[in-house]
Amino acid sequence: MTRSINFLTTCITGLAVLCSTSLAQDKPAQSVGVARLTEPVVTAINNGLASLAKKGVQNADGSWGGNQNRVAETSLSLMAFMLPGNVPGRGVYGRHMNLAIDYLLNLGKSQRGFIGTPRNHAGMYEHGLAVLALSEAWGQSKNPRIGSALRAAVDIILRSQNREGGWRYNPEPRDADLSMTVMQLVALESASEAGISVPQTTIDKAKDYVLSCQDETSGGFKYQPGGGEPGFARTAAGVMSLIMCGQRNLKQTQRGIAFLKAYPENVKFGKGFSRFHYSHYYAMQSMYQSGDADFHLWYPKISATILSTQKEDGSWNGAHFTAYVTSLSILILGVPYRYLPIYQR
Amino acid sequence: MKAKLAASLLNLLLAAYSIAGSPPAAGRYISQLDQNDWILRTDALHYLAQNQVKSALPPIRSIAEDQSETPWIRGRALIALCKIDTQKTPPPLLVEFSSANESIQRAAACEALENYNDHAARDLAKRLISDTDAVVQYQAIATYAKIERAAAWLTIDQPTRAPTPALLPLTLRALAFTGTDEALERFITLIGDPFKNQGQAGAIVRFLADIPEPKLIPIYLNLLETLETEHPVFPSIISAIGNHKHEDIVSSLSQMMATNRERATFTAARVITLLIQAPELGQALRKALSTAKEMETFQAGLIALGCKEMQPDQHQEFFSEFLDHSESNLRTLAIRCLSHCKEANLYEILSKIIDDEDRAVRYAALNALLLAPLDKAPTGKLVAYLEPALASTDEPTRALGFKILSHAGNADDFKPALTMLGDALKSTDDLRREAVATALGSIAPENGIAPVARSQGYITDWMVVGTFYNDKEHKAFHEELAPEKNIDFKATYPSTYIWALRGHQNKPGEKAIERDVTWNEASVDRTNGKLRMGPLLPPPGTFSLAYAVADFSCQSAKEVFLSIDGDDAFKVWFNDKILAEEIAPYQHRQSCIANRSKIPVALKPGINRILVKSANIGHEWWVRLRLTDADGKPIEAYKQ
Repeated sequence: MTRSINFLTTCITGLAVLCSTSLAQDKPAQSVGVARLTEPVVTAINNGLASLAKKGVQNADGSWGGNQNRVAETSLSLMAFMLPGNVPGRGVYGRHMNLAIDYLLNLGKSQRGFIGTPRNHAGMYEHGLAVLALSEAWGQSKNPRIGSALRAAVDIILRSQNREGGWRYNPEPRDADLSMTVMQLVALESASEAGISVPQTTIDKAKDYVLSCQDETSGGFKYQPGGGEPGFARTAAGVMSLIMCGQRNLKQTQRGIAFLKAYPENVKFGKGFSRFHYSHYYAMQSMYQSGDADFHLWYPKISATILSTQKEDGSWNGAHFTAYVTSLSILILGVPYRYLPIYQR
Repeated sequence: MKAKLAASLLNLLLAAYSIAGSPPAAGRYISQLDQNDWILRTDALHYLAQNQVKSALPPIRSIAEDQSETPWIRGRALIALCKIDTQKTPPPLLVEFSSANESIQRAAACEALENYNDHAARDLAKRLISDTDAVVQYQAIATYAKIERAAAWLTIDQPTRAPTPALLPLTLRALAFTGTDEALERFITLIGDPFKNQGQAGAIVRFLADIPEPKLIPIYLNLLETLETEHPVFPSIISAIGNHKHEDIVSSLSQMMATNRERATFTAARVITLLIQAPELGQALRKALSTAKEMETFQAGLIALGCKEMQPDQHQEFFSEFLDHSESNLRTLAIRCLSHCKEANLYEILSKIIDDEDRAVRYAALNALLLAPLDKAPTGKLVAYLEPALASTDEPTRALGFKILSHAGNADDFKPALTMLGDALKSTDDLRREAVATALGSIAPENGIAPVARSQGYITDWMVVGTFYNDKEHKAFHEELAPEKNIDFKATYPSTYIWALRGHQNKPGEKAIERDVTWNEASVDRTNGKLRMGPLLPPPGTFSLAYAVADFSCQSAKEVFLSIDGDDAFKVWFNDKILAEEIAPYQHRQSCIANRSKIPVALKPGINRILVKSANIGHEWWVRLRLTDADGKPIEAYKQ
C-alpha cells in the first residue's frame, strides 16, 4: 500500500514537472526535475528505448543481450524502460517489460532465488542489478510473483555478506570488493524501500565496508581496503552508495564528491574515458543527490557527450554490449525523470 | 582370470559413475576392491558394508565366489555381502561357507549369520557351536545369542564359564546379547581383569560397541571409573556408550551420580562434557558435586555445567559460589563458565574479582568482560569500575583494562577517564602514554581528541593552506612559494594540481589544472598527534605540498625540544628561522617517513610561531610535531 502511494505521488510529481517544463521552457531552471529535460534529450531517450524494443533485439525468453551477461543487460533495460514512467503490462513497452520480468523471475526460481549467472565474476553484480530492477518494478506491476522472488533474492544477499560487511563475485560470504558491495547496497536499499525487510545492521556493516575503501589522502575510493589507488568509477559508486544510506552529509561522502569534481574534466567527460557508462551512471546520480549546483555543473557536460555518441538507430555502442550501453545511457540522460523511487532525492 | 578381469572392468564402470544415494566415497572404495593389498581391500569391504552401498554388491559377490581368492578375503566379502543385501534368510553362499574346509570361512559364515533372525539362521548357528574350531564355535555362540537373546542362556552357559583370553571378546559379546542377570553378572566378572591389558581391552570394546543392550551402559560407566582419561580405551568406551539411546544414557548417568561416589561424579561429569551435554542432567550433577571434595571433581563438574549446550544460565549462582573459592583454578574456571551465561550481568558479578590477587583469575575476569554485552557496562562509571585494572602495576592487567575501556566505554566515560589517566599522557614511558592515548581516543567525543593529543605535547591547532603542485623531484618544495614569503591568513593563492591517480596518468606537457586555495583552520583528529593533510585539503593530495602554521603562547623564555616526523618531506621554521628540513626517500605505495628528534628550541615570551612546509608524492600524507622538556616530559602548546 505504501509502495502504491509512493508510486502515485511520484507519478503526480512527475506530471507536474512535465507540465511545468512546457510552461517554462526558456526560464532559468528552478528545480532539478525541470532543468535538463530538453527536447533533444527526450528524443534521444525515446529513440534509445525504441531501439531496445525493436523486433529481434529482445530475446524470445524476455532477456536482452548475448550469452554472457544477460541478467545485467535485461535488468538495466527494464530499468531504462521504467525510468520515464513506462509501466509493465501497459502501453507500447508493457509487453517487453513483462517478458523481462518473467525472465528474471524464472531464472530466480530455477536457481533457488539467485538471479545471476552462476560461477561468473559478474554473478553477484547481476543478482544485485536484478534485485534493483525487480524492486523498482514491484510497485508498478501486478505480478504477485515479484514479491516472493525478491524476498528469496534479498535473503541470498543478506546471507552472502562477508565479515567485513562486503560482497564479491559469488553468493557466499568470503571476500569482498567495493564495486560488488555498492551494487548489493543499492539493491538492498531499493528492496527495503519496496517493503522487503532488510536488517539495519546489514546496511551499517556494508556502509562501514564502503568507508574502509576510502583513500585517506585523496578522498577517492579504492577497489578494496588497503590496496591499490583510488579511481573515478569506484569513487562514484562509493559516493552513490553512501548517499543512498543516508550519509550525504558525512565528511567522507563530501570528500568523495570533491574527488569526482577535481578529476580532470577533459578526461572524465571525454568519449574515450575508461568505463564511461558505469562511472557516470553512479557519478550522475551522486551529483544529482549532492545538490542542484553540482548537478548543473555535471549534467550538461555528460549529456552532451552521450548525445553526441548516439547511433542513428537510437542505440549506443561502447566497450560493452549494446543493450548494456544503451540502457546506461538512458539511465544517465534520464536522471531528471524521478519516477523510480531509488533515484529520488 | 577372465572373471577377475570382468569384475575389474565392472568395478571401474561403477566407480566412474556416481550412484544416486551412495555416500561420496563409494566410487573410490569400489575401485579399491581391485587393489592387491589385502588391507586396502578389507578396508573397502568394511566401508561399503557399513554404508550399505548396493551398487557394490556385484563386485563383492564376485570376490566371495572367486575360488582363486584367499579364504580370508572371501570371508570378509561374504560378511559385507550379507550386511548390504538384506534378505530374511541366509543365502546359499553363506550355507556353503558354513561347511567349508577352511575354518576361517566357517567363522566368516558365523559372523555373516548375525544379519539374519529366522529358524534357518538359528539352526545353522546352533550347528556351528559344535564346530571343531574354537573360533568358529565362539563366533557361533555369539551369533546364536544375538538370535535367541535370553533363551540362549542354557546353550551358552557352559562354554562361557572360563574362556581363553583369545576367545574372551566373543564370549563377552555372547553374554551381552543374552542380557539376563546371570549372563551380565558373568560378563562383569570376566571383563574386570582384561582391562589391565590395553590390547585386549580395545578388542573387547570393539566387539561390544554395536550391541544395543542398555544394561551395558552402567557397565561401561563403571569401566570408565577405573580408567584415566588418557587411557587408550577411554574414547572407545565413550564411543560405545554413544551408540545407545539418549534417554538410556541419561538414565544411567543419573543413577551413577545418585551414588554420590566422588569418582562416579567425576566420571559422569567427563561423560557429560565429552558425549551427551544433556541439560536435564545439570541438577543431578550439581547435587552430586555438593558432596564432592576433590579439586578434579569440581573442575570436571564446572566444565560440564559450563558447556553452552548445558544451558549454563541455569547454574549461574552455582558458578558464582566458586568465585570465593580458595583455589585460583576454580575461580578461573567459574569465571569462564559465567562468561557462557547469556543472562548474567558480568560487570556486577565480577566487580570484586577483577582485582583478584591471582593474575590468571584477573585475566580471565577481564577477558570475560570483553565478551559481556555492552548494555550491561556501567556507562559513566566504567572508569571507576575498572580502576583496579587501569591503575595496576601489572602490564597485561593494565592493557586489558584499556581494552575494556575502549570496547565498552563511550563519551560519558571520557572525562572520568581523562581525570584518572591524564597523568599517563605526560609519562616519559612512550608505550604506556600511547596505550592510554589510544584508549582515551576511542571513547572521546569529537572535541576531546585534540586535548588528549595536546596533553602529550603534540601541536594540535593549525592553519593550513594547499595544495600546491610539487613534482617527484620536490622542485616546489625547494622553491620559495607565496605563503612562506608572507603569512597572510586572509590571502587567496592561485595554485595548480595534476591528476596522476589510477585511470589517468598525466602526460608529458599536459597542462596542470588551476584552482585557488585559502587558509583554513585545522586540528589533529587522532590522539597520536598526526595532522593528516588529505582530509584537510582538496584532492588528489598526490604530487602536492601544503603549509601549516601554529601559533602558541609562552609565559617566559625557556629551552625546550621539538620532535618532528612526517610523510614524505617537511621543512620547519621556528619564529621565522629555518629549523629543520628532511626528505624521506620515495617508495611507491609505501609510507616514506622523515623525522628529526629533540631539536633544541628557545621559546620566547608571548606568541611563538611554527611554519611547516609539508610535501607528498603519494600514499599517506601527514606531519606531526611534539614539544618536550629536557627529560622528555611533554609541554602543552596552545594559544592563550
